[in-house]
Amino acid sequence: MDGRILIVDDEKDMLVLLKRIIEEKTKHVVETEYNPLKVVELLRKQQFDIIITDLKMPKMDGIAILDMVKNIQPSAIVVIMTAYATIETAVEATRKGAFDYISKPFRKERILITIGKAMEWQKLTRENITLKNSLKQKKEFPPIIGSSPSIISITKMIVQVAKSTATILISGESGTGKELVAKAIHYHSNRKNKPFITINCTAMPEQIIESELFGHVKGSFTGAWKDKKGIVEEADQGTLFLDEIGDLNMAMQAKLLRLLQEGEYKPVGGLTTEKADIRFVAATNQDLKKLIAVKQFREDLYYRLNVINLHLPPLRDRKEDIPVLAYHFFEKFNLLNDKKISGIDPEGISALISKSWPGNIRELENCIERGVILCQSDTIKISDILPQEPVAHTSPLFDHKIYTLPFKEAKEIIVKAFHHKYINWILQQNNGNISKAAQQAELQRQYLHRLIKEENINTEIFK
Amino acid sequence: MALANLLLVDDEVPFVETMIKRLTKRDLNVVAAFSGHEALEQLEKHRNIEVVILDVKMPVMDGLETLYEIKKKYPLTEVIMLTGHATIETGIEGMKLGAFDYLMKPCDIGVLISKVDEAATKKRKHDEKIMEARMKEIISRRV
Repeated sequence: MDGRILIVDDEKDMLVLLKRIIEEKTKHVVETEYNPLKVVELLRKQQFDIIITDLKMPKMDGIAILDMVKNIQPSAIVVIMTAYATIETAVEATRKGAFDYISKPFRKERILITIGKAMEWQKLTRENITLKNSLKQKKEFPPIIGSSPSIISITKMIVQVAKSTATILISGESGTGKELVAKAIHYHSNRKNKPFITINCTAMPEQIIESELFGHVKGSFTGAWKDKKGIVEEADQGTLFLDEIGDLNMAMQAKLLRLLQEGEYKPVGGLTTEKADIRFVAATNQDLKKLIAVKQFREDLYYRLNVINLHLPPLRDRKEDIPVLAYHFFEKFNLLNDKKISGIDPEGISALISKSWPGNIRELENCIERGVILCQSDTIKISDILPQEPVAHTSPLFDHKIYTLPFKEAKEIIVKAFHHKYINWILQQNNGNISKAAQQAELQRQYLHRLIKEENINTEIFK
Repeated sequence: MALANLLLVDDEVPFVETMIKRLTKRDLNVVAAFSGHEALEQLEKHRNIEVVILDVKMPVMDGLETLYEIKKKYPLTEVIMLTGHATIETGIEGMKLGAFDYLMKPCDIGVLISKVDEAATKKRKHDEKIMEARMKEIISRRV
């Protein structure tokens, strides 16, 4: 990687010498400045990868330059050099983020090695930022898509109920878009400029749920070293979405009921009662009435939550939406993967319509993503999107197509196939009981839950 | 609640004994180790240790080696290097290995305690951020 380097030193001879050493041995572009007061101007005008600065200079020292660089160009690397090295300045410079500290006089190899390491660091940092950005893009949430009568009626209902303060219970199978509907309710309500907070009640460890929800006061338990605001306080005047509400334990159900009824709660270890103005939306893929019958869910809480019920149909019951959903995901992944595929062939679309989609929209989305990645021609074929279901003798390892992909992509597909197969098997062994399955697999329950969600596995089918 | 849970590592027994008395008096919860290996054992035993005060010059396993091992196994534990034999190289190396600070003996007890307090606060904030990041998968916030 060829980079831009700025050298700052009040000794002009040193500037000439360093510039020559670097330009002779590397392809980096080197700029020099003998007046430290002019560095701020240079930093505002141009982006540098490395700034090499002397420590002791009149008017402004190297530590001040280091502070300035960290403010103006935080991604730039600073190397300090000095003929007056002391342990205090060396420690201070390193603590403030200097990449290296070089005592003068130095051998030219010393500075070249430091530059090489700094450039490598820059490259890795940039790669990391690119990866994070692409992840962020992936997480962006899509609009509600579809023109089937059921979806049109749900969309109308969302607009109607959004403006009220009534609590809403969204029911529907896993992957039908419950969170998307909850967000749509929030963004159509008068609370749209206030926070929308989602809590996944299944994944939340029982020991910390109360303090996460209601906050705690300093010293109320080990580790509570200062007062902590809870989610309820954060969500004040906004919307709180309680996903998988059926998995909330009974003790928390009682506390939540009080919050719903009175708008009041008490932080853990707190003596005073706090008030909160929150719109609650809850969702579940379980039959709450069955849970009430086996005393795992409070009946009073159920009626409090179920003021308005929105039931999301499974994808198999709104097949007319499959083509438009498929094209929506196709466009998204075509763009994200930087591919120039023109579309999905008609045979592929028919196959998508005839499939039953137990994992619903999330499964369809994953299927299209896979199709876009695997597609080698200008249209996605049926074999790209719906490969044969993995049976004992068919594994992506034996699919020759896998070897035409870059290593990382191929590995991802194989790992995904393994996850899918392993989790299905372990859930089947344990009749869909996630806790028991996690125990047998020696995995954390929360981690297994995350994998199940990622793989769009409907645990209900094993029960 | 103590100001911080501290591990003091130094091979000079009289120094450790005196320091324990002085630090305990100032509301710090202190355990001691007299070698690098013992320091690692103490960290394994006392999982609530937040800050380590570590001597640089010790026989067998020196301070930098101990610091490296501590940071490998307990990356969030803050380490303050304390030495009577400072060099620029060990100072830089210590900071690069992730030490919180590098102090020279003799060190004023007030300065040492304020550094311990800063280090413990940094560790607690760090722990909190990690908890928040873990919670992000469970709780998502949008404004």
